[in-house]
Amino acid sequence: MTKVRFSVVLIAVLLLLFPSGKSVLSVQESDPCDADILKLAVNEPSGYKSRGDRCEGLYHRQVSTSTPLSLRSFMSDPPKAGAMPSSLKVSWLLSSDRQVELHAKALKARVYFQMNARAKSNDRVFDWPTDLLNAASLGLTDIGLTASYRDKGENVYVPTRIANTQSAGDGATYRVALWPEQPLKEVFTSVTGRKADGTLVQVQPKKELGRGFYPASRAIQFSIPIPQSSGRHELTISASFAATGGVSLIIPFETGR
Amino acid sequence: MSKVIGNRLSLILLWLLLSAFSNVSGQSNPVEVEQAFKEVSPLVVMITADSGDAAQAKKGTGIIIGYDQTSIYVITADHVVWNGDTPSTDVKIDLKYSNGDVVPIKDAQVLQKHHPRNAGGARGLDLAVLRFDRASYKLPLDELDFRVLGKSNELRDQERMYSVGYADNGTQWNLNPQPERFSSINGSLLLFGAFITAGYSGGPIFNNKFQLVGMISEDTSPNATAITIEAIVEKLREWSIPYKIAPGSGRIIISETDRANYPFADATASVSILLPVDSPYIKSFFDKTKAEVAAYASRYPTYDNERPRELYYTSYTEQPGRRIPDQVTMYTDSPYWPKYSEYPVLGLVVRIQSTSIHFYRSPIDPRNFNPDNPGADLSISFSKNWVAYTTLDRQIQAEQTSGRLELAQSLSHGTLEQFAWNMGSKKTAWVTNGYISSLLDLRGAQVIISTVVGNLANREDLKAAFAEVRTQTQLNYLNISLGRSISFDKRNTRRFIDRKGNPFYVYEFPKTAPELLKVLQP
Repeated sequence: MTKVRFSVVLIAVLLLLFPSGKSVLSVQESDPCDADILKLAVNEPSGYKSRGDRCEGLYHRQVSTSTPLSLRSFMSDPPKAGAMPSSLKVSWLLSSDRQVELHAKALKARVYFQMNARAKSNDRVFDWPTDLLNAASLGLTDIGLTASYRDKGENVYVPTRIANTQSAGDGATYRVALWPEQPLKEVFTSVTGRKADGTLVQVQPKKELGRGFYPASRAIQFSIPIPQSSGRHELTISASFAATGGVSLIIPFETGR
Repeated sequence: MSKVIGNRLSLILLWLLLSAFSNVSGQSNPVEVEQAFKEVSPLVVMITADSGDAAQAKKGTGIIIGYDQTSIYVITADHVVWNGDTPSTDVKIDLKYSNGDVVPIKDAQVLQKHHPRNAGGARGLDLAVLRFDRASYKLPLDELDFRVLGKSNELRDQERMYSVGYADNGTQWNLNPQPERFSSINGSLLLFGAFITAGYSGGPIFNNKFQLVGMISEDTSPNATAITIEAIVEKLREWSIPYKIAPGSGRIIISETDRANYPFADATASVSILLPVDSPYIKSFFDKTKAEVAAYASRYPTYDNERPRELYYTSYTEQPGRRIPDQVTMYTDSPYWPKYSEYPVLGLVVRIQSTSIHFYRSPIDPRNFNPDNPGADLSISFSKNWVAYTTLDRQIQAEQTSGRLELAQSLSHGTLEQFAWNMGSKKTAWVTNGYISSLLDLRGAQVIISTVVGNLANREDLKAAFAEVRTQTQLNYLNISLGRSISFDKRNTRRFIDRKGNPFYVYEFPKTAPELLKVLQP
């Protein structure tokens, strides 16, 4: 696979594209709604709209093309399949107070569901009612969830967990889900950290997922090792399209303690 | 069994796929849907639009609707070429000439006349118009046949429809192999049951006579939304766009009745064959197909004290004209089956404990089928004691508690989905008949039957894996999924009637590797 040719390599810096940075336009300071999604909201009670501390619901999908590969979930403890509680206690760890944006989408094809929330800077948990998840027939394992904050113009991701569900995690890895919009041939991942003096530390060398084919609109889930040190790290993903070309993503993340 | 076959390579693959096609009326000679698509495809273009940042380019589909002395005009979805009130400044159009040549046009312009999706608080048409220089079209314009229009208000419930688009995020020029189904008309919106992917925006939707009745706009799962051609024409007239699209007589698409005799026509499937480990053809296959071959070995423990059971698989869809149910049947010991002794190597591994059938309405590349994550529209897995039924919506797994296993579950959209599995009376570990009702229209869907674990696709590991299979599982056969799809034709197709009077079909493979390879599409 090292011979994979990238005839066209699109460097898409995820932070600038997806999922919660540029696309989330604050209608008001307290309103985290995605303006583009609002326009496409399903005209039903379950449609995407502001719901107090969050915006959530179903929307229609315009079928022009979009970002070929994006981050859909970044969790420290992915939930096990099971009964859906009446609300999910989404939690995260941060080394300093920052305003965190939560972003959820479905990990299922053709389920156009989105939730945006903006937590207060000193919050470490968000209470997420599950009535709309149930309405969308989304189970615990169907939820793609990210938390991120803005820092120097980029989104930095913070691994999340759902505290009031059973964990399917192993305590040694984070669970990542990518969402391809077109078929991929192969996906490579690597994780690096940065010491206080600025030198790079390799946490996980470049690794091939090795599944050989990744259909469009199906989540690509994999694990990465939890870095031993806290602080800023980067997950680098490169993928070759089943057709021609490829895409790379750089996902900064913080391992809170 | 290996003694029986020796080094002779005899192959049978048993697949049944019945593509159901609705009856249509018309005056011209019937044609395959691919032919009808080919005839209109010069009107269908692919669009790439951005405003100077290629990484942010959007791709969609468009329809050539007319021309004048200087320009050729194309319609597409507003959201493909407009970002709010700002038109894309860098628009490329890929033309596909009738001879199949694809030619890019780089100087397409977005006209100011457009109708966004959200217009003044109401649902807009999501319609935009592009133009490019007439001189850019290198073939005579009279090869563009604009007599393609049908009437959206004459669509019948569940009528077959055909969508065309720049599928898979703009990587394929695609006619959906699975016909769509008309659902309803709501003002200028045409709803149809579909499985469209990113890139279809602005693409045409045809009725069952391949007449243009709308332009695709959104996926509103489980339906997709198009704009009716009447609403589009009215707007073009209002804008004084010199359109030339006009009513046409359409084509008769080869009907289900015709196809019943040739159920494998147009069907595709992955190939599973059984080869003796020591067969010299193993190497031959891998040499010929190289990295396109994925090999799997069955490592399931075997049933003790049970004779090897030669299983064969048939799957087909029945009930013409009904959206549900589709039917999948697995048979053992059918009296109508050709004598086993004539085909000592059957298509699937014996002595397996469980197996799965996966249906894909949008075909996948079978060589990349991942049994751990099939991602199918419908998967049915079963073994001696349990059945698992998985769709994109839900998963049901049930233990067998009696001779008959029935499940019914209400889906989120309020429709009852039923599932019944008749375990039969045979003293066998295997299900003898299964009837599956699904909301999914699986007619024409790709089917992959999986009985395998242990991915031996890695070339370096292959030899060691063979040895491991033999020593640890005592299996002498490898179940190999070839990295090719098969295009079935009426040759070698045989029709049988089972005990209950149901027809089923068998596709008989050539018996030598070279002959087999001939029917495998590259």
